[in-house]
Amino acid sequence: MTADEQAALVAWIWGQPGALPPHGMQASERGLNAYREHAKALAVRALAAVFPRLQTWMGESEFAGLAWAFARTHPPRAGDMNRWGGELSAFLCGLPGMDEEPPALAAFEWALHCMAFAADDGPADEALWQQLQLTDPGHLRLRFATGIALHHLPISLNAMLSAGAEETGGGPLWLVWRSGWRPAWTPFAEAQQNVLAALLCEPTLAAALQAQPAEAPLLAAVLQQGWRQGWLLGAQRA
Amino acid sequence: MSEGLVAGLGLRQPHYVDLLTRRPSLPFVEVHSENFFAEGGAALGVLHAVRADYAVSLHGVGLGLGSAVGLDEWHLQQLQQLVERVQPVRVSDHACFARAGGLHAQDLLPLRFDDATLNRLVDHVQQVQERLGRSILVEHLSAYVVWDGDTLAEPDFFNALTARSGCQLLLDVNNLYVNAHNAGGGPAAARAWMGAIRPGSVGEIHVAGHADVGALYIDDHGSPVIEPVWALLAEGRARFGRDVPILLERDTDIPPLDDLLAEVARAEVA
Repeated sequence: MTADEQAALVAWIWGQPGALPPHGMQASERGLNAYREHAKALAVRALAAVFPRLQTWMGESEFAGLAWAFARTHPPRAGDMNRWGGELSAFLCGLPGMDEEPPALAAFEWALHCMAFAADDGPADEALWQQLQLTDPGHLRLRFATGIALHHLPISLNAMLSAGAEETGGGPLWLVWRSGWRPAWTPFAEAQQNVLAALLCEPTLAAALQAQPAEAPLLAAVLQQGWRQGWLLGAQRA
Repeated sequence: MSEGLVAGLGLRQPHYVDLLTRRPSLPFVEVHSENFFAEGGAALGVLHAVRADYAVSLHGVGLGLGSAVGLDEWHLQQLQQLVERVQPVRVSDHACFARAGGLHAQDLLPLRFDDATLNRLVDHVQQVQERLGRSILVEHLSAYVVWDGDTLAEPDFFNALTARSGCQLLLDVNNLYVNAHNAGGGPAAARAWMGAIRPGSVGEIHVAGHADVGALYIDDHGSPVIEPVWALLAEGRARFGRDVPILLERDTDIPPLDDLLAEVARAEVA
């Protein structure tokens, strides 16, 4: 059988634009539809597993429609279904009249989902504090938990995001990271975001402080929060 | 504790904690390979914990061994890494295609049973076996469409596949039952299919439930095994050997672990 024959069947199953029921097979309508119905159900099930809060926000019926619309335009391209859905936020952004919450929520939940497959962190290292006192900051880089990132989310999502968060409070800024094997998130002070961004991006602690000199006084507070919440794990020589 | 047993269980997420807490006697558990394609995290951690007490069989659903565009290098890399980590007792996937036109069907799509398709499947199976450094098992499908132009009977296709590639057949008696019904036949057709398979080529037997949606039976692994399928299992064991491992599959509407262990116990004596 040819690649074209195979492609025609897959395109029809996933509802690709212009796809017609494939030729060259003994197929009842029920038989073909069994494959398409499986694809539809799989799309909903897979995306609901990754985006449970988005499904709650939109409602099951609307989410199911979204899942198939997304699947038709962004069908799976690899055999690991856990890697599918990363383009959902951008897809939502492109829908006319879309509110700001769904795309932001989709990006947030995708970030949480992706942490599940990342390499495990080593344990937190209490020698951090001694290193901070004794080591030249030009030769020190902080070690953060897997997946650490800041997300800017509409404050209308605060109630939903507060459920399960590490600490209470509200957005719009939320910090996500992997804590052990589970995703974690917490509200994050906007005043501290520049210093954290510099710590994440710059090659050394000294470079981070030079990048944000006006906010250097906030460093101690950021480090203490990171250690307490478990997203700052230690330091290493740069 | 599991010495002499041959019937294992497909391990799915709702039973992770129960299995690790109770550690029932099982000769092996099976997992879907693709659910553990990761660098770390909870799923892989659970699998390592399970592996400490059980032999693990890796059953893939995503390689698409019959895909005309070839195998996915990333997928192969992930599988190879998982095999090295888990040291599974068996590795298997399906005689299907999935990758086509830049998409992945996320389904097990049927192949045409002809020489060209057989040659491609043999080549791809050998690629996987060389990459993994071990032989694999290949499962035949439950299918709801049939391609025109078959030139080989399905059992002959699989006899040739196992003989030429060195893989073993993963026999699924529920698939046989579903296919026979959907083709307008019955258990006799399924028995004839098994009767045409070369003894010694079967490395594992799967048993599962299916859904009756009217005109079609759908192989959804979502209900208990029915009596005619139990009977096919017994006949398969009689033909292919009572030491051939058996797997009970349940992927949807997953009941409590004890319900599945009762079915596993029945498979053991079938």
